[in-house]
Amino acid sequence: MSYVSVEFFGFVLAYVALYYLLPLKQRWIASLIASCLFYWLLTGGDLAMVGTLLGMSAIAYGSALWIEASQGKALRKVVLGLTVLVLLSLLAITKAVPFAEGSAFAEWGGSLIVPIGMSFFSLQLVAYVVDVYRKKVKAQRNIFRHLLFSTYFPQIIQGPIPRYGQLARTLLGGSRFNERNISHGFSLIVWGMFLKLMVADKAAVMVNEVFGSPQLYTGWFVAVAIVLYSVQLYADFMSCTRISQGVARLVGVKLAENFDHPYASASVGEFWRRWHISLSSWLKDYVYIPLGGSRKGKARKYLNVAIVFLVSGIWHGDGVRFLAWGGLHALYQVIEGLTERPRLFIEKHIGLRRGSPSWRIVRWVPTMLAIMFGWLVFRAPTLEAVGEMMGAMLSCNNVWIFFDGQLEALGLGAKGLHVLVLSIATLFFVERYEIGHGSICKWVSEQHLIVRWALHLAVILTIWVFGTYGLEFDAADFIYGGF
Amino acid sequence: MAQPQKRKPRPRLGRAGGKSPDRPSRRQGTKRGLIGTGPRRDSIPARVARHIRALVGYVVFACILLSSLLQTNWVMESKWVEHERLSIISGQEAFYATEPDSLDVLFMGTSHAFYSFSPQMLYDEYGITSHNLGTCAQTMLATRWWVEEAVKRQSPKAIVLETFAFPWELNSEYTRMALNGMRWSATKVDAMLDLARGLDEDPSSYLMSNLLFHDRWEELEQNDFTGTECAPELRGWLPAFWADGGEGFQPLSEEIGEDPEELSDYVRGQLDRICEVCYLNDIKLVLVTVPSKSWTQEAHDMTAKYVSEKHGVEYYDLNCAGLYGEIGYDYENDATDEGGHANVDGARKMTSWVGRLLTSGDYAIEPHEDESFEASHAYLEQSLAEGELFRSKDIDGYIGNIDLSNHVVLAASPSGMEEAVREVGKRWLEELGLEPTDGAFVAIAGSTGGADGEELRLIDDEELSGILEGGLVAYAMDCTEGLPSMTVTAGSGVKRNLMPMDGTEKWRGMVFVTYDPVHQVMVDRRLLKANDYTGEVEMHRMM
Repeated sequence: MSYVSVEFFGFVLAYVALYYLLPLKQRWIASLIASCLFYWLLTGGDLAMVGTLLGMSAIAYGSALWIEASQGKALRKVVLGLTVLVLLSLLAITKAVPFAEGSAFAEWGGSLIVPIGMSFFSLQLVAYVVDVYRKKVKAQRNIFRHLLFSTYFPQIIQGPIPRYGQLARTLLGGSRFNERNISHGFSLIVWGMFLKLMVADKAAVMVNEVFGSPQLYTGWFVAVAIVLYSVQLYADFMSCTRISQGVARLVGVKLAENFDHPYASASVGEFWRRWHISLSSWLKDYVYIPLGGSRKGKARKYLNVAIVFLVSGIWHGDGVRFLAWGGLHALYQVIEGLTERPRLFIEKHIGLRRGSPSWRIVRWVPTMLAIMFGWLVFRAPTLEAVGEMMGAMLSCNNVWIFFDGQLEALGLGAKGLHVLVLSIATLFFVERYEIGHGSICKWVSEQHLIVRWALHLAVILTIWVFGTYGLEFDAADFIYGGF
Repeated sequence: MAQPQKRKPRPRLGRAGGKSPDRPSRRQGTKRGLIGTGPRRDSIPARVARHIRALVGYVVFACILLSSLLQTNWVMESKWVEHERLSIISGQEAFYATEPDSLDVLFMGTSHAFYSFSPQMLYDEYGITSHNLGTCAQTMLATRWWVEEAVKRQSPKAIVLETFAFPWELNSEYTRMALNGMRWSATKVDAMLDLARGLDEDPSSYLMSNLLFHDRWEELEQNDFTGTECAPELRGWLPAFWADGGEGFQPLSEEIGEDPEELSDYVRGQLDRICEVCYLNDIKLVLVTVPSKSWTQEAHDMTAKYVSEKHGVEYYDLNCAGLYGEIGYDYENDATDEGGHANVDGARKMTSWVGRLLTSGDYAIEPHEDESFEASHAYLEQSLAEGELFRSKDIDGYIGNIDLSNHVVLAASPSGMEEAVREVGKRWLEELGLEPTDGAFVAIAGSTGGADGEELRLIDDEELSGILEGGLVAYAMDCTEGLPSMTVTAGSGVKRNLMPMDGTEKWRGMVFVTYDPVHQVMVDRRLLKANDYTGEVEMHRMM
């Protein structure tokens, strides 16, 4: 069951109805039933996958209680270490398999069944156990409530990676019916659908064409494909986040924010504070800080940064390419750190005032180029292809493709291309609005009923007519669902 | 230091979660614990009332949304216009518009059915009322469910089922095409579920057909928004006027060959159900294969073998020598599409044959008078006359064949034609009652066929528009850059260009377009031009 299917929205409707029909104190049970049923349907009733999820949830549940009850520091540490090891072992094995290709280990690892969403829920459970260890939260004593926290369906496949302290109150407590929650949730879902079907999946048509046959395209074709992939990835990932948040908001549950306008960043460091926030903050809290953070000198800080980004790269995908992508971002951060003083010196002497629009633009351009090069590494079929595509892009200045209709031949046609450009422009203006005013979905949900309905209706019909979907098109695959 | 006074928040009506003036502020609520994170509790009746209001709002919004989506679906769906005289959907709409229990016979099947059997001809000759529910490549699944649907509205004495789809497997596109015009009912839902099971398709795509047609936004035309109104008087029959059947009839043997193949389980299942429905409703089922060069001996044997195992079903293969001779079919003159389908003459022969069959023997359907069929007779005559005009090769008699009481003729000419063409053109214009001009011109002759005040407009230039009420209007204009687009507005408001698609090229001749504004049919389009080598004036049909 995909997040953009008719079945999913029917499922959500039934869930919301059941949720509000139950007495307030029992409403979390509706969430639990829906989550278990969703995962069961999602995995096609695969007992191994469901069993692994339940097993990992049970381990986290028991360990947290044990850690909380234990007095001895050493024992708590041992239990925590073993729990983290167990919770991350399956994920680590699957990530290690591509590096040991051809070995007996790879054969064994490849035969393991990896439950859907494991990349997300294993980090979620580790965070929970560590937070209990750090006494930031109290362990959940009700195993069913704990199971709901582990399996909550709007976020189990693609995040955001929740923290117990942030999610428990609204998820486990139960919410009264509130029209504003319904309206806000609906707005988030509609906006998510727009991002997915009007931006991400339309851009994907052109991106897939170029990245699918990189040897056929040179010059600006490659540049356009890289820019569009940057847009596609953002829109795709944000769409699933918005849909997840929207579904949860319908029943008053507030999921974590995952994005804070990352493409407005003036440095790569800032980008990572704004992109996939739930993962970045997880890596900071449970990898970077335990490694010593920036407290042990600059060299150690950069080493820690490198470790964090290599872990992030491995988390995002299997193999050397993603390791290289993580390493690239680590390198960016190190270079940024080392060149910060000389850059400030130059900016001061050419009269660029820190924080001014000009200063942001001067910093934004190289930041975006660096990030987009990173996305090229992320998306290209192989590392060799990265070099070939860069070479093909830089060796040909076929700027006429913007004027002679060749871009239209990348799969969308002239009208489709116009719709994509308009959709991206809409995304841009919404982003601009949100930077100064907050969430557009919240704004819509606060408008008069007639305005709200008209806006929702207009966006839904626009998607219905112009969206990229249909029987021959699999709109079900979110990019981050594959991690 | 004086504390600034807090402004009292103004109530905002109509806003989600907004507060009425007499409702306490949420901030005045008591402390909330872990359980119950929503707004402060109101009194139970107030809360229930608020929830009911919200619920009613959601239901209203859902209704508006659903109706908007369905309307959008309708616009985006293919209208499957087979010809100006027949769209699949309008043929089915005409069936629903027919008086209940007024039909004696139903024709079912593929395009061979809707080309071969004319309900109006059958009535005119035998007094039998009928409707043709044939659709392009109609699958047996679609036929079966249309039989189920049809018997809910009509009590036919016989169903004539054309057999071309018998050897075919189930196909999604043509089944959807056939079922699309069926009104929503339990029957249609069952049909859709049957199709979904048969092809392992997502049933939601039948309700939300945009899942199939979502790409059509790039090709939407005015027809998609206004709908098509093809001639309901023809009752599902599509007249083909052109004769290009070719020669070389190879008769099939009536005898079943050795060890013939079986029809597929899917076809047998659907046919069994059709037989059952006919039996339960006391309907005679007649299987007919019309002459076609693509029907094979193997297909005949499969069908005949099935029929031999069924009681109460008659099978007539008009490709077999005996019946082919009996109906007097002649591929060269009676068929079109290189022998693929029957033309008007072929349809007349097959309709006459089936009428003889249905009024004799076990069928013995009695003739009777029907007002509706009496009224639609005139349009059949008009269509047949249009067919004659379409087939006309006589340059001298051509204009005389045009019935200006039912048609409009649009004529256009660039300047600089050869004198010989100009002479013939002048004569044609005079015959149309128009005063010839020497230069380039656009002219209109005829009436709107009884639609008083109907405007026929050449929309390229506002000055060229005029109201035609049986009179003639002629305009002189500059056509030196080629022919203008000549666009008419009539009937449902559909605008269409009657000039050839490449009409902007410099035609070295005169174009005459005959148009039926009531049925919105472009009857014929001719070009008068001089032969490039001999200089002789020729009349070309422009497709």
